[in-house]
Amino acid sequence: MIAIAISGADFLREHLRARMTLAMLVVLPALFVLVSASVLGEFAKALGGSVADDSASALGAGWAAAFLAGALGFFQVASSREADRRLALAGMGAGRVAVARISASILLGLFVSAVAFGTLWLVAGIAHPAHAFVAILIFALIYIGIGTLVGSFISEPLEGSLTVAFIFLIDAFSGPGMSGGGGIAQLMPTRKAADVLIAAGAGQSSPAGDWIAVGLTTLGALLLAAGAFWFSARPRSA
Amino acid sequence: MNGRAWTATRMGFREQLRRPLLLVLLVAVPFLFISWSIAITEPTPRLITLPGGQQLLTTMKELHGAVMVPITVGFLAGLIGLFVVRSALESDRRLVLAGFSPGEAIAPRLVVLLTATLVVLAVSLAVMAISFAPASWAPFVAGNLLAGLIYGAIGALAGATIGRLGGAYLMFFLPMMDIGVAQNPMFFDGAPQGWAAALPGYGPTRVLIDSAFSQSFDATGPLLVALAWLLVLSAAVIVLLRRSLSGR
Amino acid sequence: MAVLRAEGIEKGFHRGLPPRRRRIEVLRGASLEVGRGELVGLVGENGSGKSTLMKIVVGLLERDAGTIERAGKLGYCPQTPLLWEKLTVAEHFELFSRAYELGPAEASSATESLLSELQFERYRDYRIEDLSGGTRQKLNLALALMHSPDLLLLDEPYSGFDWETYLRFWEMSERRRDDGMGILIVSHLISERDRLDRIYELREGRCQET
Repeated sequence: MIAIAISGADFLREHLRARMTLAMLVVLPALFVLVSASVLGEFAKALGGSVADDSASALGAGWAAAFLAGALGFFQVASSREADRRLALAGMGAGRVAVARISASILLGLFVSAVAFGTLWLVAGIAHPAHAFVAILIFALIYIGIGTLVGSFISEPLEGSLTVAFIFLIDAFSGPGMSGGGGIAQLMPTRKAADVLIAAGAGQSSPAGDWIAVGLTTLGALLLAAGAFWFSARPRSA
Repeated sequence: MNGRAWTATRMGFREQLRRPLLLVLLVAVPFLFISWSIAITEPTPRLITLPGGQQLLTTMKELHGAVMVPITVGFLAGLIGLFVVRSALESDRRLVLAGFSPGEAIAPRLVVLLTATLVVLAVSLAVMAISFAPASWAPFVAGNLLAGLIYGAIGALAGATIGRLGGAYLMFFLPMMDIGVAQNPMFFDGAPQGWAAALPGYGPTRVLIDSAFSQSFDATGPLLVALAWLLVLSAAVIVLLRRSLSGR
Repeated sequence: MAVLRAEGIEKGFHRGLPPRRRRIEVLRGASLEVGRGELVGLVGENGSGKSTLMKIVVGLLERDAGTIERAGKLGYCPQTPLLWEKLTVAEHFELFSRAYELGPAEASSATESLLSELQFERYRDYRIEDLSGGTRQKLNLALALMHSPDLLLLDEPYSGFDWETYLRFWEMSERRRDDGMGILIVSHLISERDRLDRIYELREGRCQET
């Protein structure tokens, strides 16, 4: 189990060993947070919402972490499908493979969140850092779940990346503060996490209800992801 | 086009046409993304500055309609360029070893990329046209096509040089930040800031904004800038792909 | 008469970032020769540089030093089948027949004969993504043979083959060798040594004829 969790770190090492990938992982969130800080307030108004500048930077960091994590989650599954099946057949079983993969995913989520949070702190500062980090981590974990789910059904990298990007865009555009908040916005996976992040950006705490909702959404995303890993690794006909 | 390149082109199209999910996404993503973005934007008044200095009062809704097309075309063409070139480089070197010239192997891939860009552009324009009609169609289409070709070329370069994960990040964030923010007259004071002129999306966006809201064409400078970007990027793509396929 | 002569091939790779950047020398003056009508083996431990040397000979990698002379047409069967997942077996034959500049009659005859020889005719219209590893490897080998090359380079060509196909592969190779083709095959099965006319062992970056 530990070996598989470590294999998540191996996966990270494999992809991030490419210097350009590592550079993108550091530079792009930094630019995105910088750029979004200056315009998200206006954009939110245009969509019928409102978000203060401090919160805009925090939201930008959350979204950066989300997309980075979603793509990472997708590529992790896409590259491990056959290996997981072999491992399950070798005696580990699909259930344990799934649990171990989720552990690896959480590791990846932590890494991506640290990058986005560090960027936010350096570029814009943050009034409530602990809450902000947790909220950013939740964005990342939810999108690890989404990326994994996409990857368990789609193996082609172009189709998979496009699907993750599309889900992300709809989610981001309909987030709290960005839109009037009605209709489909309520169903978006990062809705509550965005509420918490906006509050953290403004130096405010969030009510317990929001944290519970966020916790449940994250748990749901990780369970979905675990289900997707199990589905991929499960034995076929007896 | 000679026999080898023509055969490779036919095979290149067959490969892509056998990916039903991709075909669905190339239509569904522009359709849903553009129509939904326009639908949720308020018709708040907005003063913008066109190329040539003329100021114009329009609405955020109309601006969003105009700008969503190049954003969508840019990021889709970029991702397609990235992955088409990546997978081609893995397999096409064998064709070169077997007797294809690098040019005969590259040209079909670029034709596929161009065609995919045109499909995305056509769908995006059709969706936009439901809610917004540019003042002058021909240069508007040209501006969007330039955005697609420039970002397709950047995607192709990324496919030849960066890993798939880093490339996916770049081809998502770069068009969003460039066309979606830096060039977007919905933000700042209705015109791109000085530094935005150094970005690849500057020329195409100024051309299409001009033609979206003005009957007269005052964006010759940005058009030339866009063409220069396209020329330089296309040359870089061809040189890099030839080197990669010729052996290292 | 040699169809392949490689002399003094050197190749190194850089690893790591400064200040820990280091150079790993894989080939340090490797030389080998393959004559017409010879079946030559290239053996060595894992990581000894066999595939690197093969790729340099084929032209997939640049060498740091040394010379390579090749005569006639080249056929190359890589270790990993480099194929197009969405295209069919028949479409691969069509694409490569264009690459080799075979006329329609010649291409058709080569295709039919190889499909029959390797016994995968029924997969003609199957896409690569639907094929087993062994069948992909059959196609991989067939594509290298389509144009009846003078020099055939095989990098562990039989992975995934069943026993019958494996035996058929050796019959095919020996037949072509007898017809005058020069064949260099990367191999690490000791049991195959008797089938080879000569063997080079790659050790510490150099080839020794054993």
